Amino acid sequence: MRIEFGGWQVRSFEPEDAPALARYGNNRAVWRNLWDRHPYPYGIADAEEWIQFALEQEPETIFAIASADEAIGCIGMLPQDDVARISAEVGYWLGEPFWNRGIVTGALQALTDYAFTKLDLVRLFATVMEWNPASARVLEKAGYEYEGCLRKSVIKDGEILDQWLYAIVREQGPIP
Amino acid sequence: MCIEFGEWQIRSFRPEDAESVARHANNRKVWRNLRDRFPHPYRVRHAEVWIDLAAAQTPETNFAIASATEAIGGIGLELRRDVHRRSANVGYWLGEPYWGRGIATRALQAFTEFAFAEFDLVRIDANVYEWNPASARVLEKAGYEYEGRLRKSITKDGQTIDEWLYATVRG
Repeated sequence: MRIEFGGWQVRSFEPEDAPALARYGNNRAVWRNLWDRHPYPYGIADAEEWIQFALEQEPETIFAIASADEAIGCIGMLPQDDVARISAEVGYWLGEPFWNRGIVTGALQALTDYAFTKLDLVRLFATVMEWNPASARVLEKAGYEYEGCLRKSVIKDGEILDQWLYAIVREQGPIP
Repeated sequence: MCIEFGEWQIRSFRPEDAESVARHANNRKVWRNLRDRFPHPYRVRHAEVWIDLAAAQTPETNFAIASATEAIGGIGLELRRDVHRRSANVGYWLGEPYWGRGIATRALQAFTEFAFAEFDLVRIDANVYEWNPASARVLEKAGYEYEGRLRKSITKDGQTIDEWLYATVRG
């Protein structure tokens, strides 16, 4: 999979992405807004394991955010199951040198379009830790709407935090 | 485990509960507000599989709501992992003959106290399907607060519907 947007792309991971992914992923400022399964420090072995995991997903749900030269971040979704099977949780991170350039917003719009047109999903949602308003702005710019504050729903970096819940829904309902 | 509240109790499932669990669970009105892993029709063998699963779980998180004589429903907790490890999702059902008597509310109150104490949680939440305002009232009476509407978050009985999210927090 490859979707281009303004000089950047969301594309399938390649094994050769590991060094770049580790270089940008090994950052406490990145780690602080992600699940603990993204470790810190983050080495090449961690990146290799993650890329392997991403390539095993069927359907493919985890992608690189990339420049023409290298992976600079990650964006993906976690499909829900049972009655929630029409829904997926999205998550993303971007290497700090690339922040504040609209890249994540573009990547999220590309992923959202992919999820609604290529996968049979009706709802995508994301949870943002309360200390990360920049990510909330990304979601709003990509068309996600605020649905509520999930009080004390995460523990990160030793602190219990609220999360903000954002979601976008496909208006026409499931494809027959 | 056994928590008494009035003439009712929350207790571990027993193999001999299978017949009464199946009798109360085999009801489309119960099924319609639960996940699809709760089947319909609901037979004794489904109850047996569920009771075995509940007994095998460590820690034990799924329990019977019972009268002095039989199981009349279920209540359970789904513990989360990773950054969500201090929160859990609660769910429950009650046999239709026992609706409208405050049993689910008192069961949820008792179970919530138990769960906060037992599992080192700071948050317990619950999802209610939009066509089930009775369950939303149970949550409110048990001290849960409304946090938001999850638009088109589930598909049940052939329809795409919203859920209401409720939660109670501690500490």
